[in-house]
Order: sequence, then structure tokens, then C-alpha cells
Amino acid sequence: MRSLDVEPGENESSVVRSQPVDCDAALVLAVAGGDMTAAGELIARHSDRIFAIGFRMLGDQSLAEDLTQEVFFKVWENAGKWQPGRALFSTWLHRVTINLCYDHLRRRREVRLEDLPGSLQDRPDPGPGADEILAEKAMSTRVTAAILSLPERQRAAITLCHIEGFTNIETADILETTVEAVESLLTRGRRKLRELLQDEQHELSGGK
Amino acid sequence: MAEERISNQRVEAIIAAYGADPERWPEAERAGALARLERSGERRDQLQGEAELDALLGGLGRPQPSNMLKAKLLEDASVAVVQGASHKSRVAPSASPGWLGRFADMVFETVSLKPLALGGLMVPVLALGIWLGASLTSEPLGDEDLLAAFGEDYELWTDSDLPDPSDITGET
Repeated sequence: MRSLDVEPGENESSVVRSQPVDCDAALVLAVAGGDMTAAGELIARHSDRIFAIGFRMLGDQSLAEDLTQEVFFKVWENAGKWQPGRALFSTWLHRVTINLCYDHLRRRREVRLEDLPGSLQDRPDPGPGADEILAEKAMSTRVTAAILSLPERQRAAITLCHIEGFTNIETADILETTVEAVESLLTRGRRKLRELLQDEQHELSGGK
Repeated sequence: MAEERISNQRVEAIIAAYGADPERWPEAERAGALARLERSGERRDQLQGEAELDALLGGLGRPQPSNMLKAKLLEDASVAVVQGASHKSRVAPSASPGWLGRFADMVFETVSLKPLALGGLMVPVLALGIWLGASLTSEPLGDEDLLAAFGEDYELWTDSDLPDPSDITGET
């Protein structure tokens, strides 16, 4: 059973910094009161990012959309229990997202490197004169595959910090760990990515 | 000076974890790390290698959901929010309908009176279901069965172990 209870000393980073303003708190409370406009606003603010994280973690368009629906279902379900000031809604939302990704991955097991997502693998030929686009897509597919081959916590740290732009402190909060642990996950994840993407890096630097 | 408070090993560790872009480095250590890099000129190879990886990661396009996703999310919200988020008897998104729902779909597929007909059928069908339940091999429990068994405490009858927002204590 995964819990959000923070172990003593595990999340010091969040204790020492000041409480940021939670721009979503009022919307969550409005949703609890049955306000559909607020629900629409929460969807507009967060759904694309939730989907993108799901896609990076699961490597599948359809699964990522299902996951996004599950995450928002949890939002509607828990809006009435929300206690403003205790946590940032965004932190909770992305924590739910990552935990649901872990649940999906646990059910499906690891995605193998050669098991590329269909939505990336089966790109239609965009037509003549599109060599650059094809090359770009092929590169993107290889990078995506390399990310998907990482252990799930390294994948989550890389996705949150390096692709979605969360800070190391925010990433630590979402992953329920310390900044030091996030740093370790990032270091190991990047080292593995460099190993897997040597050819791509070489290609990027013009073969120098 | 800031650079005196940060070791060369620490600069190496920062670059290895956060990449070549100083904007991603921990704010408290950024100035010191930059000052040390400028002065020593070391770590140039490491910076270049990490910058290439940064470029590969940064070159990933943002995946786009289908046009239908937001409409589905709003539809889910209209059911859950308007009808009351505390009601636990609704069916979760993507969940398959229970056997009664499938039966109703099959029988009333082309008839628009499904809700009324479903309600009318509920009593005799439930009675039949109890009788069958006692005499046949058990099937996986549907939402209705779980609701009857556990009441409205959704946490008890989902297989999810997701966090409750009120449990978060990290931002006190």
C-alpha cells in the first residue's frame, strides 16, 4: 500500500522553504461544490501535462489517455476532502499521476527497448522531400525508447525534471523522496541514457 | 567567494545530475559552480557531453492527446462533479459495465428507454440474480456487488492504493 505519509526526515526540503501560493486551491474547492466551470479550468490547466507524463512513462498514447482520465477521476472523487494549505494541489496531482503510472507498469512489466510504442513506430510516410522530418522522428523515437528502458523511478525523475521542467525540490516532493535521492536518480538515469544514445549524440555533434 | 564553498567534485556531480544548462542547477549552488567553472576551465568535455544529451531530451516534441480526451474528461467531470463527488456508486472511467449494464445494453441497444426499462427490470432481475448466485459458480464482483458489500467507502473496494490528498503532510 503506497502512502503519502512522509517519513521523519525524508522531506526536509519542503519544510524549510516558504509555502508557495496554490493557484488551484480555489478551483478544487469550487469543484467540491459542484462547479463545472472550475472543473473545466482544472482540466485546461493540467490535462496536457498529465497526459505528457503518462506518455513518457508508459510509452503508449491510449494508455496515457486512460491514465489521464483515471487521474482526473481521482480529482473529482477527492475534491471534497481537499484541505488547502496542507499541500500544493499540483504536487498531489502529479504524485497521483506517477503512482498510477507505477501501477500500470507493475501490471504490464518493463517495456523492452525493442518494444517501441506503436504510435511512434508506425509513422506514416509524410511524402517526398521529408528526409529531415523522418530523421527527426527517428531520433525522437530512439530517445523515447531509451527513456522507456530506464528503471521506472529514474524514468520518472528524468521525465519530471528534464522534460517537464519541474525543479529538483518539486520532483522530490512528487516522488516522495529527498532532493539527494532525486539527484542520484537523475545521475544514474542520465548515465544510462548517454550509454544508450552514444550514436545519437555523435550524430547530433556532427560526428566530431 | 562563492566558488570557494563548492568543490570541483560537487560541480562534477551537479553537471552529471542536472546537465549542462545552469538554469537547471540547484539555485543555491549555481553561482558558485559557475564561478568555479569559469575560473578553472575544467569540465569542458563533461559539459559538452551533457549538453548533447540535453539537446536530445529537449528535442523531444510534446506528445499530444487526441482531440477527444478533453471532451471525455469534461464528460467524466459532469457525471462526478454535478451528481456529487462524494457518491461512490458511479462507475470509474474506462471501467467495464457490470453484468446488469451489459444485459441492458444487449436488450435495449436500439431503444431509447433504457433507463426506465432498466429500473423496471431491476427487481425481478435482482431476485433472479440472487437465486442464480446461490446456485452457480461465482463470477468476479461488479461495482454493484462491491457497493452492497462495502458501502460507499470507495477506498475499500477499489484495487488502487492511491493517496488521499488529506494525508499529505509535506507542505506544512
